[in-house]
Amino acid sequence: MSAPSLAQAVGERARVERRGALAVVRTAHAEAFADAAHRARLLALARAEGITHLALELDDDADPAAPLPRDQSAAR
Amino acid sequence: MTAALKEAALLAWLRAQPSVLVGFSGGVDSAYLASVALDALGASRVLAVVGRSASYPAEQWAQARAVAAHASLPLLECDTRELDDPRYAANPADRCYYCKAELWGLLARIARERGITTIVDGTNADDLHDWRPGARAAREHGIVSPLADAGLTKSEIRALSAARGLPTWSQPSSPCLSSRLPYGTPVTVARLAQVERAERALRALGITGDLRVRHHEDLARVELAPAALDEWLAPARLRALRDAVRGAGFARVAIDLRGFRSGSLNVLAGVTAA
Repeated sequence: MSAPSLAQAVGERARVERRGALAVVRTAHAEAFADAAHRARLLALARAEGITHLALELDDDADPAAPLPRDQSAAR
Repeated sequence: MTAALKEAALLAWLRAQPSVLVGFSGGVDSAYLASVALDALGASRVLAVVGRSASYPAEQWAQARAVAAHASLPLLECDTRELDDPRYAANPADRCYYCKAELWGLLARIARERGITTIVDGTNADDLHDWRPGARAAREHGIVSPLADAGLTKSEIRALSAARGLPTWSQPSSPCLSSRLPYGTPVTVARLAQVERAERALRALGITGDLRVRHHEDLARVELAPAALDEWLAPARLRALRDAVRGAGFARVAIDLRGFRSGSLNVLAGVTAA
């Protein structure tokens, strides 16, 4: 099974915006990124896509009712 | 060779100089170098010179003055005008060359006028492996880097500074504010002031370690020490961080998930490897 893309990994509660080698994950759910292991996984996926800089933006306009990020749901 | 032996070699070299002018920022390296130079030559044969411009935060001048006063170091402050140079303001990958050419040109004039024989800077042995276009300007003006020549690394300089009781020993590195702007983004007083306000606001929140606010036009990308990420990614802290940076004039604020990296924008521009 191939690894998910970064966009797939962050799930439906976040959007990934690319700016060259920089990618910004916009989400209302910063808590989903609070643990280091999850961040490390996202960074590894980002690297595989040529992203050298991955940043998280707290975006209160994102839909708070959307489902949890996929791998977070699986972890619960 | 141990750090103590390297310091002894540095002292011996400095004692052989009739007089030195130290390019001084009040940071870890130049404060240590100035302290050793004072030991070697005494205050009458050492002059520290700090170059002021919008590309350094106001706190840095206060710190440079405080460090000089603490060490009884003769200090001269002068204004540099690198932002008036369109080659610098265009922010090419070798931007630092034009800044240092301005700085060292000015300091060389001061040294000549005062009969000071040798100009030294705080480049250390670690810096030699980094992307440093400013080093070419230093060579062109005959600037000597005795810390690097002695093989002193940053960690050794911190340890030796602590042994000397220098308040700078644990201070984070603080390169100029222009280093927060990606290459190609013009350097303006307004952008530098925006970064300065944002970093000051984050310090006021209690961030004490490594910190950079990288300026991506509408977006501020905040780099913190990796050990601080867990704390600042907690929603309440992240909201406070975002609001502080928005208050400095950025529409959007993001926190880098890898954390602080020295030369981060060199990596983004492909100048150095990731």
